[in-house]
Amino acid sequence: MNSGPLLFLGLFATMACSWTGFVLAPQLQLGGLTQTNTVVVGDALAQTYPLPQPGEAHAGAEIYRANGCAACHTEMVRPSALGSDLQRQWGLRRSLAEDYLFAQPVMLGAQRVGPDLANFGRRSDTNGIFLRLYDPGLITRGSVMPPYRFLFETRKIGLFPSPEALVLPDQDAPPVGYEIVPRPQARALAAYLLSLRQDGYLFEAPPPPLPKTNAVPTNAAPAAAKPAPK
Amino acid sequence: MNTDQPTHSVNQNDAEPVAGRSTVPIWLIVVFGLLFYWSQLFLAENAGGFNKDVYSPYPSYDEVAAANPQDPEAKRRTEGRRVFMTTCYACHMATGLGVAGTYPPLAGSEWVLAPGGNRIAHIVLYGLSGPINVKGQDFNGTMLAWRETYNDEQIADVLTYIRSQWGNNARPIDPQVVKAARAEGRANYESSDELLKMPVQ
Repeated sequence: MNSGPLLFLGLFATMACSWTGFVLAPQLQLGGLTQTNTVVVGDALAQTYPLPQPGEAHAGAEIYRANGCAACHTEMVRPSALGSDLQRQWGLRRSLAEDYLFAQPVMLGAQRVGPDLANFGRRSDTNGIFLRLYDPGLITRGSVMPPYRFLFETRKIGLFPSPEALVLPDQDAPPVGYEIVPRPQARALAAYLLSLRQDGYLFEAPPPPLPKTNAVPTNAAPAAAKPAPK
Repeated sequence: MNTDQPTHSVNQNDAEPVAGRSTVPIWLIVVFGLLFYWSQLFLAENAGGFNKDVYSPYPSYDEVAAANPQDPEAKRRTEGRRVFMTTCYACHMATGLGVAGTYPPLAGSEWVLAPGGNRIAHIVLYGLSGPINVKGQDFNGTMLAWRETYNDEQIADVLTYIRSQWGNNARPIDPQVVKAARAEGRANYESSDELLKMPVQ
């Protein structure tokens, strides 16, 4: 090999180019991203966006990560030009860099075996999440999602039944005298899933324009009509 | 296997490979040049100026800005803030909370948030003295009259400003309201009893 330094320089330049493009430039552009105010429509007040996840949701993110949920679920609403996510009502708007300000790590996911979860908190509730985790087929018939029953505990009913016990149809019901309650991990995961909502309109993705008013403008009233008394 | 015997697995003629010199064909340079030119054209059209605020489907910052709801009151609030920070903040404080027991708050005040701006326009124009109840607290002080200092436009601006700050979120005040209140030509220092007799709108 007679041109080692040249080869090294070529490899170095190639790596440096991609590092500049994929690491340095985004860091310079978005590294200083902070919370912003949402764009408001009408009389609403501007909100700070995004908000940090509450503690239980933060713990739930670790459960989400540990169980490999991101292998089948994404957390990103694609822009209108790149798919039908918005038509499926998976989000009010496309995902932006701000949405992931407090996600550590960002679990965008790579493929969609299941639906996108970027806005799952907007369309689900704790009980629905527990049922889906215990038996995914209950809510979505034919779901290929595996059940996560180890997040639940089957235990003997004590003095009173737990208010958190799952209400299940017959094929999933526990034996008489027993109840199925979510473990803390399931509650944390539910808190995390409920915290997934990218519903603040931001400057980069403003709300859709309001429909044009169809009210008759006052100056277009027929000339014969008398002006309304003030 | 006998390891003592030297092996001659490599042909003596197979020397270390050496990179030779040959010129790049001119057509390759032309093709790369054209590709580079096309890619720059593409980026100029579609990259949104590499602005961090420009996401698809918007091609440029101007189009994002145009798609955002326009705020025709923004300029008036800025002007109002200037008036507020020159005059009003001394008593009502930059937080709009006033001073407990001495100067009434503007944040969340039912006087400020009233549906029309008639009464607060009177207060700013003619001042106020004597007892007044704001947010359930009694105040008894004197506010100066500002009708000689500021014109209708400026007073409407500052009223619009205080109605939009510190959690207040009420409609802007039209300068016509201030003009009408000024045309009444009252004496200074209206009392809160007088104010309560006035129409809210």
